[in-house]
Amino acid sequence: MTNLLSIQLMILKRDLMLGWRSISDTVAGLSFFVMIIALVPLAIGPEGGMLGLIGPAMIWIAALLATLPQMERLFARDDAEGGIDHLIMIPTPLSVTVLTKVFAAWILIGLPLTLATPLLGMMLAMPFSGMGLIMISVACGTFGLLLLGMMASALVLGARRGGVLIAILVLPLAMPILIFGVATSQIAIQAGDPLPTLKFLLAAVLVLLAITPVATAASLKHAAE
Amino acid sequence: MFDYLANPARFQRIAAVMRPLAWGAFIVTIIPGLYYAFFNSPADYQQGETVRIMYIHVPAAWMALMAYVLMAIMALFYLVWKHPLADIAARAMALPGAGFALITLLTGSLWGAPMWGTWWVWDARLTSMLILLFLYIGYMVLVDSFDREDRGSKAGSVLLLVGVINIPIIKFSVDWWNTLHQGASVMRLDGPTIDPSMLTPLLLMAFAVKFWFIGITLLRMRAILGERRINARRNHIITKAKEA
Repeated sequence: MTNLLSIQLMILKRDLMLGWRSISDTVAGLSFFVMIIALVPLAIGPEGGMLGLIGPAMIWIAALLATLPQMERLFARDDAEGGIDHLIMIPTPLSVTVLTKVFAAWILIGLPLTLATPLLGMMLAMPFSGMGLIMISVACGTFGLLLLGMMASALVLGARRGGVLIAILVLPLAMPILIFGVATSQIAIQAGDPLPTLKFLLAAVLVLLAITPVATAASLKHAAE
Repeated sequence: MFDYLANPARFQRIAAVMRPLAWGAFIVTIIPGLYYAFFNSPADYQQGETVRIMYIHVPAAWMALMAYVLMAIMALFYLVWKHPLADIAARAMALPGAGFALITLLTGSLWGAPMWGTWWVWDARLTSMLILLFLYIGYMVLVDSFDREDRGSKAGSVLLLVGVINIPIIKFSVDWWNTLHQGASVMRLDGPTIDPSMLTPLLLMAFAVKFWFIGITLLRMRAILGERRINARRNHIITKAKEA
C-alpha cells in the first residue's frame, strides 16, 4: 500500500515538476483567462451595474474557455515520449494514476484560475462578499472540467485533429458544471443561500469523478495497443 | 444469439430478410399514420391545426433519444464482448439519430413560432435536445478522426457510454435551469392524458419511425460492411502488386 501511494506521489511530483519547468503554459492559460474577462467591458460597455450582473456568468465562460486549449496537452507529452506505456505498467490501477494526473493538472491549471477569480470579480464590479464561495465553486468546477479534459485528451490520442475535437467532446458534457457553477456564483453575490446549488455542482463533479477515470484508463489502454 | 450474428456473412443473410420486413412494416404504419395525423384526427381546441406537427415532432424526439441509448448498448457490446457488428451498428445509427434530433429541433421551432410566438426559446427540453445533437456530432467526428479504424471505434464507444451515463444529469441540470415546455402527457405512470383520437396517429407514426430506423440501420450496416470489404480487397491487391 505504502508502495502504491509512493508511486502516485512520485507521479504527482513528476507532473508538477514538468509543469514548473514549462510554467509559461500556466501563465499563458491564466493570461487568456484574464484577457477574456478584460474583453467583456470592452464588448458590452464599462457600466458597473451591467458588469456586476453578468460577472459570474462571464467568469464561468472564461474559465471554460481558458481550460479547453490546455486539455489537448494533458496526455500529448506522455504520448510523444512513450510515457503512456509506463503509466499502464505501473502496478496501481490505471484509473488511480489518471486521478493523480488530474490532480496535478488541476494544481497547474485550475488552481491559478481559482486564485485569480477575486481579482477578476473586482474588475467586473462584483461585490466582494460572496467571493469565497465563488472561488470554491470555481475550484470544484475546474476540477470537473479537467476530469472531462483528461478523458477527452485520452480519447483523441492518435487522432488526426485535436483541439476542436476536444472542445466538441467536452462542452456538451460540461453543461451541468456550467449551469450549477454559474447558479452558485450568482446566488453567492446576491447573498442568498448558495448551498443547494453548490451541492448540485459537487454532485455533478462527483459523478464525473466516478466515471471519467475509468473511461480515461480504458482509452489510454486502447491507444497503447 | 450474439455469437450467432457475429459472422458478417450470416448477418448479411439475415439482414437481407429483415430489411424488406422493416420497410414493409414502415409502409403499413406510415400510410394510416399520416392519414390519421392529417385528415382523421381532431384539431386541438387551443392550438388548432398546428397540433399536427406533434405527429412528426414527438416520434422524432423519441427516436432521437432511443437511438442514442441503442448506440450506447452497442458500444457496451463492442467494448465488453468485442462483437464486431456492434460497432458497425452504432456507427450506422449515428447519422439517422442525429437527423431525428435535428428534425425534432426544426419541427419544434416551426411549432413554437405560432404557439409560443418565437422560433426558439431557451427552454429546458429544447436545450437538452440541442445538447443531444452535439453529443451525436461529437461521436461522429471522433469516430471519423482516426487513421486506424478500430481506434476510432473504441474511442467512440467509450464516449457513448460516458455520454449515456451523463444524459440524465445533463437533463436534470437543464430542467432545473429553466422549463417552459409542457410536461409529459403520454408516458406517465397514471396512464396517458392525451385523447385516444390523437394517441392513435401518434403511436402509428412512432412505430413507422422505428421501422424506418431499423430499415435504414440495416442498410447502412450493409454499406459499411461493403466499404470495408472493398478496402480490404484494395489493400490485398496493392500488397500483391508490390510483391510481384
